[in-house]
Amino acid sequence: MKKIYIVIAALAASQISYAGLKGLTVHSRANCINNESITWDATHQWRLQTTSDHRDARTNMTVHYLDTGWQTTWRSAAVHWGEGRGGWAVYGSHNFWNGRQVVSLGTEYVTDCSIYDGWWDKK
Amino acid sequence: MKNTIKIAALIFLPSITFATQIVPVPKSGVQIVALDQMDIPQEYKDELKKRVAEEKAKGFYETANTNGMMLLQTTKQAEFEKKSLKLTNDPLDTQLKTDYSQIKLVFPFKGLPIDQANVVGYAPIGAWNNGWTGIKVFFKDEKSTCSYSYFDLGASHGAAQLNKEGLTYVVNKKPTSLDVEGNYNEGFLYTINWFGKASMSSLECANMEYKPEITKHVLELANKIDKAS
Repeated sequence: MKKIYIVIAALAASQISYAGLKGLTVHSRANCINNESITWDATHQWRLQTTSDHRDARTNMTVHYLDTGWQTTWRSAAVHWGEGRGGWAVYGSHNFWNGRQVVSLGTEYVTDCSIYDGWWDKK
Repeated sequence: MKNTIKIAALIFLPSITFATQIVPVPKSGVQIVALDQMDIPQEYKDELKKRVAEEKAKGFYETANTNGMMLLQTTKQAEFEKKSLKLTNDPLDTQLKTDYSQIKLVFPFKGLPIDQANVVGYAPIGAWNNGWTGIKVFFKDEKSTCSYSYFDLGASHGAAQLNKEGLTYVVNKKPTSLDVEGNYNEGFLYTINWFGKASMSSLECANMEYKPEITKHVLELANKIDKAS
């Protein structure tokens, strides 16, 4: 519990935050040193599952597919560290189990590094 | 730098696996299925059965109330945050806002049908799709501290798979689940989830007491919120 409070305090310390500070948010980024899809909520422990389909942006062919599996956490991240150095597209998907239902919070296709700008990149 | 990346890869790669299917299928709307048909770990199904049995027997599921305590803490902290944080013009900022007009949303939102003096703050949730696909409202309600979340699953290309066992239609005849969990030391979290054709609403209220009257009151509040939306 203390760890959660420390995380919230650290996140709140910045004047602008793009993370899920007060509720569940989802995003993906490509060509950002990492290629990643992340689901998070600093206020809540959820059962989360995030998948991240990493594709060759030119051919749209899947190179590999990451699946975090189901985790009890406030931050579920499907990340390939150091991979995203250009030419990638990322297709992310974000599920949560609320004890009764499975909800897909969203899916997105991105080709850039912006945390949310370009979130819905069009091919 | 290379070594750092390699070490990070060694730490994180073992925690990921490979799969080929996303369930529920994105953009498939809200579907109702049997628990056995849901693609979730068996431990989740076993826990749900235990929850249903306990709620039937004593009205609540006895468990640690971490999320209820977090809701209380978040709301207390909000008063401090509203005073200390400068409002930014950045629409992507996810910090607490004093008014929902400060959040760019992709769906119409008129606020909640409650005394506005009880509203603690608003926050964007969901995904950014040229506007946020969800909103969360923190507010006080009698002796409870509550939050209401709305997700436009159509706008975020999401979906939902509802377990038909235990599903009721008590919020304006929409598919609904109602749960109470917690314990007498840490308090209780009353949760009502209800679904539109491509949306999810969730009302959570934290209270130190368990009383069936509180459950009834939270349900009435959910109906009131839904009717006004």
